[in-house]
Amino acid sequence: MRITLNGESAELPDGAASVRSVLAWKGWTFPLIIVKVNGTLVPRADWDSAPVRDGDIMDAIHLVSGG
Amino acid sequence: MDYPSGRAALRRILASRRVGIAGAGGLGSNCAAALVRSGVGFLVIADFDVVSEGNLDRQFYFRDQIGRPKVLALAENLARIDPSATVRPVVSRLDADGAADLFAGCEVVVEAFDDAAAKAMLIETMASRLPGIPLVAASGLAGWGASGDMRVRRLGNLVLVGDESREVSDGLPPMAPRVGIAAAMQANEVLELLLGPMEGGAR
Repeated sequence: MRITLNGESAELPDGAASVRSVLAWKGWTFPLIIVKVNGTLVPRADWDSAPVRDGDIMDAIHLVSGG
Repeated sequence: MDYPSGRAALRRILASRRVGIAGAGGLGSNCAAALVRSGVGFLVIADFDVVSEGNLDRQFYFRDQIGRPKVLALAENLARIDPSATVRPVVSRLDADGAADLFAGCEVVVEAFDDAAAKAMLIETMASRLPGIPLVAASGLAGWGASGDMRVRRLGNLVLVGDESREVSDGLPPMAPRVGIAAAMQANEVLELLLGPMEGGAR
């Protein structure tokens, strides 16, 4: 399955079908991440159920403190 | 595409624009100053905090303002730049409901919080309750140098500035230049949202 992840093409292993599994595959475990799939923000509560499909565009933003 | 031309025309457009700013610290105070200088006519700015001495190394406040609520001190400073700008200071710690109520009438909102959890709260609140209003957020601005790492990501109505990695910590404090870069980038993105892109250049 191929998606666009943070602007770059990514080939996902079989089974990487939810937002959480994509984040786990990348090792992104920052406490605060914002995820958008196809332009829509996916709340953290939905990360296990939100599907990621072939051709999807996913963006993950790492939020760090400071400002 | 038509775009405004000339200082007077640009300022006339910006004079009727309404921008919300969540937080009046290093990002919010400096972003507000840049927007008022540019001619933005209406700002609503929320922060619960007071000016402290440690803030003076990067925030748009002065020594004689220590102890005052930040948004009140900021409103005074902005009025000294341009008394015709309307600044509504809100001394409040915003939660999701407060943010949705306060920013409903704004055309663009700036996320200028310090805490990452508050940033996430505002991003999620704007996306779910005010999805038509662009939000210019910031993540990763601590330390010094590495100017080239400070970038902009545009994801629909969410614009993010910063390097998305350098977190403020005891070992890596926020410092005026890098914080200023982030705040100016935020203000610059606000102007682009309000005016449309400039003609020419790579897009």
